[in-house]
Amino acid sequence: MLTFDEIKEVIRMVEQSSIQHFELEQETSKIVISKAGVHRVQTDSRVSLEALQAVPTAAKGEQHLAEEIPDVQAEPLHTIVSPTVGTFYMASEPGADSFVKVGEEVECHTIVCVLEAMKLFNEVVAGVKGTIVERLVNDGDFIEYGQPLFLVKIES
Amino acid sequence: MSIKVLSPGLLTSIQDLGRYGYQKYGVIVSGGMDTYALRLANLLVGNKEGEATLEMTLMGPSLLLEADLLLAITGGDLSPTINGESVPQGRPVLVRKGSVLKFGALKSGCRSYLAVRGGYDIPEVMGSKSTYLRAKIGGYQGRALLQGDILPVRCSSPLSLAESLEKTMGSRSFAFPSWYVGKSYVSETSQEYKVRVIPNSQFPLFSPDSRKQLFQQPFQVTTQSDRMGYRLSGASLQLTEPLEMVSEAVALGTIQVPPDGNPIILLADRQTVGGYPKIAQVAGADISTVAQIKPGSRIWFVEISLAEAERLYAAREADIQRITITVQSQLAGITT
Repeated sequence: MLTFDEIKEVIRMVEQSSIQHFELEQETSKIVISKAGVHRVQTDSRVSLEALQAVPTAAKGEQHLAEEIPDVQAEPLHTIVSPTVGTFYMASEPGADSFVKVGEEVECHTIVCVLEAMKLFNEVVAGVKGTIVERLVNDGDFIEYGQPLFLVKIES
Repeated sequence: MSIKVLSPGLLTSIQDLGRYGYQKYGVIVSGGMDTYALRLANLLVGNKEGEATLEMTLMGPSLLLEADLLLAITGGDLSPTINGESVPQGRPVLVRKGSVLKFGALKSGCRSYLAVRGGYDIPEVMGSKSTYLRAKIGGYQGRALLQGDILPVRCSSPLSLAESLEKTMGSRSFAFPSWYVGKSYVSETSQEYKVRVIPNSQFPLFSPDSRKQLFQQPFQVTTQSDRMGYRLSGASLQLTEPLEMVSEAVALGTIQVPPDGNPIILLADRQTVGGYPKIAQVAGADISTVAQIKPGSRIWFVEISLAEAERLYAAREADIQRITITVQSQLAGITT
């Protein structure tokens, strides 16, 4: 059984390499990391969604990662990922209107949420022009670096 | 480097953390009313937290910035704008020379603080730059700002953050980073505020009814409230029997009760001694909240123990420590 740190190390190595598909089987554990043929558009070089999902998959042992990824959709979706660690807030202060709602249109520079770490609030921008289709985390959740926050349907 | 006052606002004065060590000679402490906001403003521009700032009350000034400046605005929201464009609070803002920083309508709170990188270059009087308005010492010529005043700003080494803002600025008149620090107070739309207090030494001398009323009814902040103290109106608080006291020391946040029964919360410009019985003491952590309550609003006092007040105070200081660390790393260009 691989330790969590070892899994993280494997993911990092695959991520930084040009390898598109990687499988590792060891006793009861199996890790599959695939960079190709995924519908989610990753616009930056941060930890990819697949890499993140590989961790729980590996911990469970058997399940193949590819099964968890929905079918390719017609419209490309952009995942807004967290640029930092911190507590997720939908509004600038308690009681204020949330920055964005599901169904709302956003521009590149639209602020979608703030992440609080050590009393400092970091604004997160959409990064693309499109429509928010899903919020993946809840107000007050603690967010890890690279964690997906919103899905945005990119305007074609 | 300097700032020219185009219009002074209602009451705009230079304040730092106060003039300590001279109360024994009858010189009051003064200093910022909301010292939490004041310290944040300084930290955001990389100053020492106790550097002098401009404290602006209810209606802010219009200022012409005669040099490129890194500044920060904290505390109450006086709708600040630069050349007519809204400027955010709680973050460092790099502003181009020749811009006009104007404060408008009060949106929340009561007092706003403006810190500039390097600090205001004015002499210290008895170890402090705070303006002691009644004695006309300290600050800018011992008085509140007036139209035409020119505030010199001390030069300081440029911050890494200012350099990167400079690059992204282009033709705009100001630029700021994508992070900020939270408000120093809870903005209440209901105009009612909770203020935590510790019963004071003379609390048991008040009548049982008055002791109950202190915590069961709101008190309104009257218009006869200033930097010295807030006069409250509400239940008339009475002693069980008349008391002739020898004047004794009072502290920041002491609530004293004159014979008319209307309590007074003593604040930044409080006198050094008082002869009225003291019913309670505002917890140190809630002084900044009180400083942001404007006349007409109502206060509900909540009783807490001395130990709890100490815990709240320590927690707030720990918050400031955390903010200091994160802000300093951001200013130095170290991103997490």
